[in-house]
Amino acid sequence: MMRGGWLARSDEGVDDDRAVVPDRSDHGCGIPVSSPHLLLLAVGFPPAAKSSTFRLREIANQFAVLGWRVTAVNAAGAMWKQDSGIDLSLLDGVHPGVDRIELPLERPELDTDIRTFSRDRALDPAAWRLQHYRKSWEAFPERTFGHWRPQLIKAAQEIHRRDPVDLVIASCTPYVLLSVADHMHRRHGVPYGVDFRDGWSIDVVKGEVAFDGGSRRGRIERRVLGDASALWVVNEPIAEHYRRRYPEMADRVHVVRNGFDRDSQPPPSGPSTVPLRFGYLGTINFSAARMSTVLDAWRLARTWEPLLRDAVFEVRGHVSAGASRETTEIAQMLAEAQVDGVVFDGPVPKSEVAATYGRWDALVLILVGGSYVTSGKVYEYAASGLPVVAAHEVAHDATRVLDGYPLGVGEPTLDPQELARRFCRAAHLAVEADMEMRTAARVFAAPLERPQQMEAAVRSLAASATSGTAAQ
Amino acid sequence: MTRVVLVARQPPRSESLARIVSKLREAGAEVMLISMADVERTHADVGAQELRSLRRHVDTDPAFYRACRAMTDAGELWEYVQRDATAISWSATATILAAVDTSAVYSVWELGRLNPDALLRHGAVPALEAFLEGGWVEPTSRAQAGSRRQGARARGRRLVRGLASSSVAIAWPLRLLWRPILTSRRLDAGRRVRLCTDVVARMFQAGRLPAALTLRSEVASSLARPADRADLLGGIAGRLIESGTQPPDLRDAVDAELRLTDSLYARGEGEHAASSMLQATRLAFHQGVHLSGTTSPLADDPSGFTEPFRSSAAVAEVARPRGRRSPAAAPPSNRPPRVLIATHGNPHFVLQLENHLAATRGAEVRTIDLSGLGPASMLVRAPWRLLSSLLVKDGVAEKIAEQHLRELLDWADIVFIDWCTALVRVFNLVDPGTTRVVVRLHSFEAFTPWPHLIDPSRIDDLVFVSEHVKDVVVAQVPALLGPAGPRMPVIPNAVSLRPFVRPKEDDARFTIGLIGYQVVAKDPRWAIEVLRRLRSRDERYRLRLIGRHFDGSFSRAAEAYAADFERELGELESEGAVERYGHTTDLPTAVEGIGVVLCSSVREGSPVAILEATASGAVPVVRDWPFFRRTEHGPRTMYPPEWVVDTPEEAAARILEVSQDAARWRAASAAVSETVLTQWDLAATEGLYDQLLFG
Repeated sequence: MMRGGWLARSDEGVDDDRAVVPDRSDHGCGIPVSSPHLLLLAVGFPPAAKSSTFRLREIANQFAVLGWRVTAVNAAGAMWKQDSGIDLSLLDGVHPGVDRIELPLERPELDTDIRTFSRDRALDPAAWRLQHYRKSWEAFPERTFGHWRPQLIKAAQEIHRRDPVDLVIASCTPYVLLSVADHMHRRHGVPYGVDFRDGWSIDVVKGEVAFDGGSRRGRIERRVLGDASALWVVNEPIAEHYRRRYPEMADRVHVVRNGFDRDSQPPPSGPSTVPLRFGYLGTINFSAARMSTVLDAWRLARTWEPLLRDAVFEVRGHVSAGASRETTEIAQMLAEAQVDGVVFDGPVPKSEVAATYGRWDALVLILVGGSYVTSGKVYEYAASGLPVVAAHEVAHDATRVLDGYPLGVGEPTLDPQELARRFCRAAHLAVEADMEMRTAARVFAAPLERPQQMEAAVRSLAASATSGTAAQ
Repeated sequence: MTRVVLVARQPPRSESLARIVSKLREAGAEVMLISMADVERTHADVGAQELRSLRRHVDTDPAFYRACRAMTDAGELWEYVQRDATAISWSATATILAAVDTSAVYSVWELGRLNPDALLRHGAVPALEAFLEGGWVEPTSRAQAGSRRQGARARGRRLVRGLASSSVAIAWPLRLLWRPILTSRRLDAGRRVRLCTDVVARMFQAGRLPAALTLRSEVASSLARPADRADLLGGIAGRLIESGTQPPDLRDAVDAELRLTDSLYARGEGEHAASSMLQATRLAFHQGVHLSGTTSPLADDPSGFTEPFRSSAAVAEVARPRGRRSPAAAPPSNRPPRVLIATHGNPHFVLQLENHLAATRGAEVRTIDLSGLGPASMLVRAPWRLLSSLLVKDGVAEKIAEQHLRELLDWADIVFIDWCTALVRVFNLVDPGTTRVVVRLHSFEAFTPWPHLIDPSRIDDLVFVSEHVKDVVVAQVPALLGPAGPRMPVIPNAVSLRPFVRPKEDDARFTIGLIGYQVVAKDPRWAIEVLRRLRSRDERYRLRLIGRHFDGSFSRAAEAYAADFERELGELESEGAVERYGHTTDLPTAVEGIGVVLCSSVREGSPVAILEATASGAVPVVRDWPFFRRTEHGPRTMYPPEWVVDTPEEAAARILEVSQDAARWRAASAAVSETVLTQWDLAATEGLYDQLLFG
């Protein structure tokens, strides 16, 4: 039965966002109505093409496989079109037992249609944005998403009213989802888990505490994590931060690493031939200075290494968001580097990731941050079975992931001369590495597949929730 | 064809925008780019069908210029857009109007009211996406008719004024008819100013100089309000500068504007006074007057030309010595010295100093540009905010500077600011405590207002790169010599000369090198004249032009110079007498084949290329830079006197004298190389900075 209303269930594409969530049913996939119900707060769930999309999809799928009925709450497609885009093919991998609810959440600061702007906004967009962030912060201390709080809570209440929820998982960002989990617990006694991925009170890029415990955010984090059944984070340094910050919940903190997805893995390839193609794939969220270092090294390497003379370095990913997309300083650098064989061609649809890796002969891993950052793409890079040039801090969690990778070309570095040597070594590996070495690289990566990284944590949280439910 | 109009205050550089423009054009769009920046020069290769540099086409009379100073970037852009009939016409017929940067959003919002059918987007990529999505509608005839009406009105106004001014300029009897109208106090002063500006500018351009000056004086003396006088004199001067003509009596226009500044300041209208002061500095230090020509009224009489600045109460308030509570302290002995290097301009000279300090003194060096100042950088980028705060005395500028510079000043033992620009004045807003403040002034800053506006009491050392630049600055700002003023050492630019020493062939002596000839200040036509004279005696002489080619797009004056230069060059190129070597990063190789190096510039500070070429063994022939002929110092006191010549004849004679005989040339070559290596090599000069900074 489909009814109109503000709470939207989406069965097809992004525009079908006006149907309501059904009453308790078997989700059309044979999962009995008596099975437990997970409310997964997953902003970035398919078809959003966001860096967290695969992780969110995997959480939902694993619960569904365990026999849970899953309702995934996401923002509607209109917002994703303004943000990181949408990719309908991502829906193919969603378990049929997962219901998707898409809410008409808005990010007006990303709106680029000037006809919708007030005169004040047109005159001073920066002041308008500041004002918008201030208002957003009032609802919840998160400037971009705080204003979503009432809509999210209303939606969760409605879902719970129609189909009582047994477990909530808030996968952040955005952190405003914490307020929903908190509300459902306090008002309805629903247990919840928090999937923090990178963590709120730690600035993973700068490697420092983001806010203190006495601040508004600090108080919220302490309270919400205090009642959480589990806290998941993506690496050990972040886990350690939380164990130190909240010793009383140390046993509930689990490392749930990211991993690669089979969809993103290219088919096995043999030795390359010239001209070689190097590639970078991922959101370009690092500084212009870092881009400049990599490009300088690339240019230097091309003057040193005959194998690189006609080589191409393809850079793919989002450069900035909103109005300044592809017109930033980095976009300029990439355009200027065309003469050096550098090609920039925007983001790659998720469905074409494997094919993109498949066209390349070696990869360039450019990352921000240090020991608190792992990144999702390091797993994809490892799974590619291609030589990897790493341009990031040595003390970085990605270094640990690639430690022992058979097609690595040395420690990560940010020194242009050293990096240039890594490019040269990668060029040689690309043409010289035989099938045996490439197979060894893929074998190395096999345990890094996402389902394996997540399975234990999902089972544990599901078990704790169902035992709690049984006790109630 | 479907039209997409991109509007930007400051567009991204051509390469990144070109990618988006190319996609729009591939999809069938006609693309136009409108900007405050000079996109007609900088973005010619962006791929747009039409480019519009608003500053080139919008008449910025003094009142308009002053009014724009106090506006936001967004407000100012819209003022320019609506004054440009072409920009309006393009926009009225656009299907998509896009603001490429944030400052253009308001203009596009306003243009959207003029063209209600157009899609409006913020961002070039969103505009591309909107175009590719389709669903847009072509503009209606209503919008186009509106734009035509607006354009016709503007053209009509221009026609009336144009006819009036032409008739007066050309036929003197008509001038007699106009004179009573222009000087009549019963008529509206504003209208008389506008009309007289047109008339007198046209008379100047028609060569009727005495009559133009007389009429200008008569009308000026009939105007009672300082604002009207400033509008008239500044308007005429501005019009002449824009047309590539040096305005006679520019000083009078500057004086009239600064009188207006002072009257506004006296009335407590600090914000308006700041706008007026900026108009005065725009006139007095206009690039087209001093930097795009081979003469300069400031160079001719630095003290007299800038006297109105020294007489201005408002300027005095800005530059008033605020003093400091504690004197600068000596560098600490218990830890490495900390040096903060701040730069606002070419960082080339800073890199050498930074490396030297770190390598030889073990100093902790932090280098910042404007991005390192946080919100305080706004005071540098938008001087009106700085000046208005100082004149209103609201303490806002000081507060911002204190908030964002204090940590830097507390950390550093020495702050070294390269280039004497607004950045110095912003540092001066804060009492530096015991931190020593050193400022280096190169050359072009002597032709800017900043030496007049800095606070000398908060600068410990003002370093000049040459004595003659110091002469020009001190003549303008004698207060620098006062008790509150800084020490003023002279330290030439440091340069590593050893890599230039390479063997030369005997035949190299017939190749004359000219290094850097991109701007009028280098006066390459003077070098052409020298070459002509040499070749009339011996056709073996050739000229090698090293560097980027002459760029005539900076001003009308430069454009005219470029046309003459190209013509003269063409004649000699056809004889095989000129080689365009082009830009190079390998100067030692480029100068290897030259036997003589010529410096034809009208002004220089402490040029390094001449020293580098001389180190290679090229015999230097240096023009006595005309801009500094009246100063006590110049190339004649800077270099051995035999290197310096006055005229092309003297230059040719000197070259012939040293190069006709191979043995003589070799001896001269070895001697000059030895001289520069001894006196100017890094090894000889960097000790001077050690002495300056660390005693």
